[in-house]
Amino acid sequence: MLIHPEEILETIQMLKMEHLDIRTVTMGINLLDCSHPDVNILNKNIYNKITTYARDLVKTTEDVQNLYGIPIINKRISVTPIAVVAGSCKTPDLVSIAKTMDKAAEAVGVDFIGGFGALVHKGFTKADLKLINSIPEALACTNKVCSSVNVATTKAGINMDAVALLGRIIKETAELTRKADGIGCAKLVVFANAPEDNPFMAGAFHGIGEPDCVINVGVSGPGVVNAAVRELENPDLGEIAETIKKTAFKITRMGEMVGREVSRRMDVDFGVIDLSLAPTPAIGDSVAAILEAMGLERCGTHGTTAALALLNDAVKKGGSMASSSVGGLSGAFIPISEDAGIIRAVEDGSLSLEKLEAMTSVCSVGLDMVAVPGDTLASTISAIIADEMAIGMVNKKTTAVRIIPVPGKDVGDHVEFGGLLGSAPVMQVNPFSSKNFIGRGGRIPASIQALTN
Amino acid sequence: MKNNSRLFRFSIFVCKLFRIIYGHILSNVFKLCIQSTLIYIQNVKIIFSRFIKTQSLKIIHNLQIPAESLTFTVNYIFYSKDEGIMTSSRFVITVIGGDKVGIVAGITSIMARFNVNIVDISQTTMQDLFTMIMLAEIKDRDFDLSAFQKAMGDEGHRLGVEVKVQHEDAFRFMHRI
Repeated sequence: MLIHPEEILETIQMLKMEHLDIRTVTMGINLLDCSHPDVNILNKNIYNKITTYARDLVKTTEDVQNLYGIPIINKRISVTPIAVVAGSCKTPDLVSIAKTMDKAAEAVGVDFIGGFGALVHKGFTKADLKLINSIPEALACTNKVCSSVNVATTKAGINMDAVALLGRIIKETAELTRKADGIGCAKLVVFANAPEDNPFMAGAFHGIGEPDCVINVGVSGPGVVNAAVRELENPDLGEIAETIKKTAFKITRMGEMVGREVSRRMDVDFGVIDLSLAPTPAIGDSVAAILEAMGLERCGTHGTTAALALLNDAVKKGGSMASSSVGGLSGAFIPISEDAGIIRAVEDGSLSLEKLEAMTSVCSVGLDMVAVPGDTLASTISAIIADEMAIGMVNKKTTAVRIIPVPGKDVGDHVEFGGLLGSAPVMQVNPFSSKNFIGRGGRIPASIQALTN
Repeated sequence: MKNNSRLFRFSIFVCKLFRIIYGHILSNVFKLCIQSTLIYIQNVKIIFSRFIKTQSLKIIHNLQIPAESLTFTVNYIFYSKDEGIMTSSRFVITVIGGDKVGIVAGITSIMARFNVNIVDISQTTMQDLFTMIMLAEIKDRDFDLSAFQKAMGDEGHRLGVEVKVQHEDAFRFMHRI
């Protein structure tokens, strides 16, 4: 087998100049066996299990990073949705469990821990309600805990009571983290068709169909795709798709190799590689930049949805050839605050919330890291969520909403979240009311697409 | 020169041979079909070439070429098929930066200190930067990779170049199925 020096240099260039990295190695840990009616014992069990299983996660990941010279940005943990684990607890709120998770994450040195969540697409259990009501305080008093709630699936429809409740929860979470511009909301995702093996935060949780412990990997690489597309000389769209496919293949292989090596060293099952294009605030490491490289003057203009559809499809085709363990979200991310190109598009007035919503119908996630004015009504937030859930339900795909009503800020203001979360301009929402629609409650029945058997 | 099972017989492929300096310049820029075999010279396993297009079929072997004079480009790196995933102990070392006297000497002296064997070496440019690529083999079982990486990094820093030591799989996985 031969490796050409040019191929070696191509890899080096991807790593050095184009920000190729492994975004996250996420260890999924099943907590079902920690269950206990006494919340103190439950907390102790959870702490012990996480710190035992993930004790060497950070060190192993760093060893693998040094071995291959490929940066691994985040190490994370996802756990079984806490509403399921704490089903038998008698306590009125579950904030203490979030604190335990935070403490355990701190002890093993990971960047985030996800799974403080519930699956309520068809209805609430008592524990689900307790958990959702605990979310604002849990996110305000912890640093690393992330929360997600699945409120819709293609098979079950949309639980509009949950959608209405979460509008209020999001407002409350923003209010409790007012000093940090509502950053609590950046750690809360509302899902339709949530994947059980997603390694990306804030939506990662360890599904109940998963094994006891598993390693999932999420790659990043918009910068590499961007550079590859820009290198083409006057290409047609078929050639662009072909180039993206090949590039996605290479990125995915890298992720698979790292994931398998980490899982081998830790003697844990290798779960999936999530081949999402996850942008970072670094210049060029941007999904919007890829769309603009295809010939759009600015991301968000007419043609953006088509270009994104091409990009997303080519990424999946290339990635699925590279690994037989593709899972998670797998597609292009378009988080506003984390993508310099998207921020610019919003600031220039090219990209609106409505266009962003259209884009989410052809790519992997939904309205991600969207900052809206602090005085946005809870019912309006719920309605934004409902729209996004409908797209997910009907198209049999995952969609999500991570929206931040920034307290005290209005359209034109700017919010700084820092780190990978970046910064975001506050976006305009439709001023007309959706209150009566959201107030009706109940469930939007599953669409006809659900009847596949 | 050996020709046992570890050495492949390679199909004919095209390769750009830039310059060959061995005492005198053998030729200018060649674009030749060459069939390669491997020879060992001073522990440096070099891919050598059999010239097809020249008048006479030349096989150069048993040459004692000092490392400093290896200024030709070796374009391919070889693997033997029986080395399974993750079992090899070979690393790709890349040195990138401005060209100056003493880079090869500095880098290779660190490698010698850590008992790291050079399997293959090549030199090219990337965006006008001096670029040296080495395939190195580590035989010691209890090799301290991080200490080696640190020493190489420090030496690179001293020389004003960037040195990376990466397991060969990082490249193999990306470019080969």
